[in-house]
Amino acid sequence: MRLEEGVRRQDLRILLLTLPAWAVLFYALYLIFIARKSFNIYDPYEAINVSFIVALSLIPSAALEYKWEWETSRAESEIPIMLSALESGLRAGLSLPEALREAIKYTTNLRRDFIRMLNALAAGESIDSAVKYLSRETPLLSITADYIRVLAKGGEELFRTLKDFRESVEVIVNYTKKLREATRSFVATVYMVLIVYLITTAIFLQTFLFPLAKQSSKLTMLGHINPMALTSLVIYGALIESILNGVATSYFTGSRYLASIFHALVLLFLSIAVYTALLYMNTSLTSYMVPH
Amino acid sequence: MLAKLYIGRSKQLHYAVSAFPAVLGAVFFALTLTGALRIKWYFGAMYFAVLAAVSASMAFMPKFKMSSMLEQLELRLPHLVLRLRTLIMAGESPLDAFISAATEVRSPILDLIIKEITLGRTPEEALNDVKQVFGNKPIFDTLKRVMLSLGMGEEAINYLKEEFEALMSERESNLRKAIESLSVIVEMYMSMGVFFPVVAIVMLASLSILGTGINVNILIALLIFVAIPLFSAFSAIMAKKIVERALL
Repeated sequence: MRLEEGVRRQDLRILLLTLPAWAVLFYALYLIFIARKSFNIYDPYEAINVSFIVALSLIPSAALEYKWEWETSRAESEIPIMLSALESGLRAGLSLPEALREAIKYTTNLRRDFIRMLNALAAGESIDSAVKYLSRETPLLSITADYIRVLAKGGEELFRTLKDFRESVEVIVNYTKKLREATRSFVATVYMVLIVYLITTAIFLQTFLFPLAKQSSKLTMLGHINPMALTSLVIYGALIESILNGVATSYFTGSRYLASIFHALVLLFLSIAVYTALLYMNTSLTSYMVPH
Repeated sequence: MLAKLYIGRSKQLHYAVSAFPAVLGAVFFALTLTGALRIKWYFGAMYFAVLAAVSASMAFMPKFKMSSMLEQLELRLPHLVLRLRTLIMAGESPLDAFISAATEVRSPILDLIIKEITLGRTPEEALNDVKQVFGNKPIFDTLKRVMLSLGMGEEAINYLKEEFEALMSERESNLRKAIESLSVIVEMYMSMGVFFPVVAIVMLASLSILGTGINVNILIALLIFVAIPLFSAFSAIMAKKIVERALL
């Protein structure tokens, strides 16, 4: 049995989305009780560790949210095709289960649920019971499941209602497609935001702040700034920006799930790699680290 | 009818409890003004403002919830019409079809109407009762038309088809407005949530080097840990509201 089927999707979502918080908490406990160090917000190496832990613990959530969004939107778009094939099957004189078996050959994401429903029917379950295997993730999927139940109860002569129902479903599917197409460009936001942040801060640190800090003993007229503390804050900035961007962009694009976290995570790993490289290129600056 | 939205199911008790934080803030503020507390008056004013805002949000909570119920009904109306039509086409009696469709749509307003109908009121009477609570909103006119169609017999199917098409074309015209609003929010988010923090970090760090003796770490930490999350959350909530209205 798949994990998603054993646990309710909503519970799994909550569990996975809170995973980074648990991971950071365990890291803090490890630092305090095992490594015997206090958590220092101005330590860039700890900032890298925290970012990496958060990024790693977000992978399952990001992957599943992306998968669910993809499957749900694909399943919705497959409904009119399935209904059209079902109508043809019924017109050709097939029984409803036979027509459904033929119709789901034209689908990918709807197929699994329909096969389970048809198997349950074949095993002798009532239609009211078997229809529970159909996904009800969105109102459209829920209406379709109810329609199949009505169709099964009402008899095959109801195929005359199929055309009307399919046309209405097509209107809804086309509307949803329009919304998705219009908001698709907003996904670029997540990339643009993080790339602008990453490039600007990396150039600033490498070409201005770090060289200035290395020369600080000679440049007595200038004020002092702790480059390590600032780098640490910049890394936390990248972490916060990427995750929140992922969440905000998911809403901008009208997703039912936080699908854009997947894109944000890719950029977060890129940011971690860039900042880690910067830190290893400037190891001489570790003397600026605030002691634990 | 909507007593459950109020604390203790009583309007009077709800407003009395809601006023409590504001009264507490006012007393605190008065004590700072009279010098009874050794706190500057503006801190007292700040506490008063925060507690008054808490009071106001508590007092208006039922109104917010009612407005959210109306939005949810508006969002689900095309589904209700589609379900209703399907069930009538399948041969169910119009009233049973309405109750069944309205139950599946899971809108608190429709639940109230069903409750009234099951208590023996006619659909029109049930709708009028709900209108008295929520006010005369345009959505109720559409709902009234849908409910009146239940008595049309065979003609109801065609009528509901037209009503569904009208609702969807209205949605499409609203979609354009929603996309425009979203574009504005995305631009605002890009400039305030992203470019501003980057410029602020670079400027603050540079200025602290050029101008001696300023510790900018706290300012930058506030920017990263408070300002960015707050602004992102605000943008996400705005976007969610707009998209929810446009989504089906």
